[in-house]
Amino acid sequence: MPVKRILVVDDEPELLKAMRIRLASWGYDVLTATSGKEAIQLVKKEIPDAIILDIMMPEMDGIEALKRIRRFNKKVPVFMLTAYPSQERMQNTESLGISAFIPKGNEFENASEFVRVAIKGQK
Amino acid sequence: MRANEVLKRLNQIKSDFVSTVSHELRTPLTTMKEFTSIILDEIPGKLTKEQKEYVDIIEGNIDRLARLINDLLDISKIESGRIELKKALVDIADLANSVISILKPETQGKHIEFKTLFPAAALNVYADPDKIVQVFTNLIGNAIKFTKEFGEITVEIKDAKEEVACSIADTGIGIAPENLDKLFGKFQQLGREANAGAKGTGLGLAISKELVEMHKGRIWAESKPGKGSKFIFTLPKHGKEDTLRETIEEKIAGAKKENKEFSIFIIRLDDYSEFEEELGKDKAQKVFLPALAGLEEVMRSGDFLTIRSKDEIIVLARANKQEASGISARFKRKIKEHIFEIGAQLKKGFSYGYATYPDDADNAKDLLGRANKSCVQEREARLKKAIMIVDDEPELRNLLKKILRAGGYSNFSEAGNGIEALEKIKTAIPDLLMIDMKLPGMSGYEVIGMLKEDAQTKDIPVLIMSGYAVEIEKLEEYVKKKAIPVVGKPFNIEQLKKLVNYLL
Repeated sequence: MPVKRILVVDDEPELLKAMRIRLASWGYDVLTATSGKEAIQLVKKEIPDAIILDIMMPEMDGIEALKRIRRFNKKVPVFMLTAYPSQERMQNTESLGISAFIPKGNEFENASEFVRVAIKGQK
Repeated sequence: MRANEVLKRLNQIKSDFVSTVSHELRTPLTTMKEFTSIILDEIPGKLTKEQKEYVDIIEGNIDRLARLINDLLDISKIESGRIELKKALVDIADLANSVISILKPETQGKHIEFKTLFPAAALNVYADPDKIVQVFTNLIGNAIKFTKEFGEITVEIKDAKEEVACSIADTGIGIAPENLDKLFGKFQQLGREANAGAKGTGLGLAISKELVEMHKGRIWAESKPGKGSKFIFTLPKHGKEDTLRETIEEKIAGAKKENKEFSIFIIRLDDYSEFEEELGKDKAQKVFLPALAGLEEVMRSGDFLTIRSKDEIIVLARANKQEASGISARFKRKIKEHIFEIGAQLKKGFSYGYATYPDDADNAKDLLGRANKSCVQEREARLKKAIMIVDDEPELRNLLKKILRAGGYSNFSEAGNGIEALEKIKTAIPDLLMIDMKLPGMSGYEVIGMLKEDAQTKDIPVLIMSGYAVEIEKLEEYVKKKAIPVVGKPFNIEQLKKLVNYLL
């Protein structure tokens, strides 16, 4: 099933707005959430086809949010946004079924470009 | 001693601070970059030429900030000792050429001539290729920046007895003698007038110096003001054996201190030249890459080190003896999968083995010796494996055996129906089951199903032979996700051999 509806989760409302505009321009339905808690609720209710999830968020970080999402949804592809792609952070996440880590603040490419490529790679 | 510790602690705080700050800077940068690209792609509306020009400038400066943050992160990682070199035997001229080919387009329209003076024979050094590429990129990038139209850049690599010397010379405005030493400090931009283009971060040479010194090399600059500058760095020529031994010794010392275990894994192409002939140079060179890329997955932790040469990889990783055996098996699997995917025949195959500290030996020489000794030739081990053939036609079983014998296999058992097959499997579990689907009495589907239900037999690799379209949905309830390869009848012999090589 092709990805149509994407949930983007980041604690920065302005980045969320940018991602929404960009992803909408590529024809996706975009849902947004500014916290892990809100994201979990939305995944339950709206069942998105893919999730873009920031790792560094106050209160509940992205990894914790994903752990909880995986308790009831094992299938949805998830892309983690990270401004600090360190090995330590990517370790021990194999069981969470993360499709890709998307770098923030990359000098060559927008985060959304990475997302586009990553989603296209999903079938 | 105490002052030293205070200094160390301070350094740590400094580096933590830098990485946190870098992180905090990247997030707003991401938002800025997203919005400028949205504007430049004219999603909200058409831009005038002037508007586009200005937003382009904003974007260029966002990229510059991103570069600066990356360089800051690099420096902080190096200074706090958090960078580990991933050394491999590399031809230094290859690295220089790859950088030149990437940077050359930047000189288009400027009529800058690139000259390369490389030795005729490959000059191998043991170095971290990514890091040396970073040094070349920085030095050649600088040379391009400071060379005016119709200038010349010369990249030279020289064999200098104990070391390899690389130099990058330009015909730019040069550097005043009193500034030559300051060049490698942080944030030193000494009023050299650069051409238009991407602005530097002032950290490039400082990073290059750290990286070269981490390799136990030296770096310096020479210049004649008005005529041009020359940057030279050296890398020690180090035998592969020395490097390997040193690396293992370091690892042993570390493991001793922490009272931990680690293992050495060796994977070696048995006859590289033959492999190269079969696959072609490019593919042969890359045959290890997917296994290397999958290392993190295999190791379950990022804490490992690889030492690579053309026909061999040696991996040092935290693993006890028991874990090491599993990792070694998965490693083998990964390489076989890749060889299968690229369609090679695995005529010669490869060897693989491992040894664990301190179980097998407690010094570098013996440990390496044990690892080498434990190396199994994949091909020999494979050819001894037990293959069971289940088909109701004896002639077909004979034909199959003939084909496989020609491929070097010798250990066969056979059955003419499902019940006989199951009985034989119970007494001796085969390494591969080749089974026809249409059998008298119990069907092949049922046999596979029974095998999958028993913990002892569920992992036997199965190759289905069928003249009919295989009813995969019939299999699915037993087999779930694990795909089972199928050969159609009549056989395509090449395909059959390839599948058997792959499955065993």
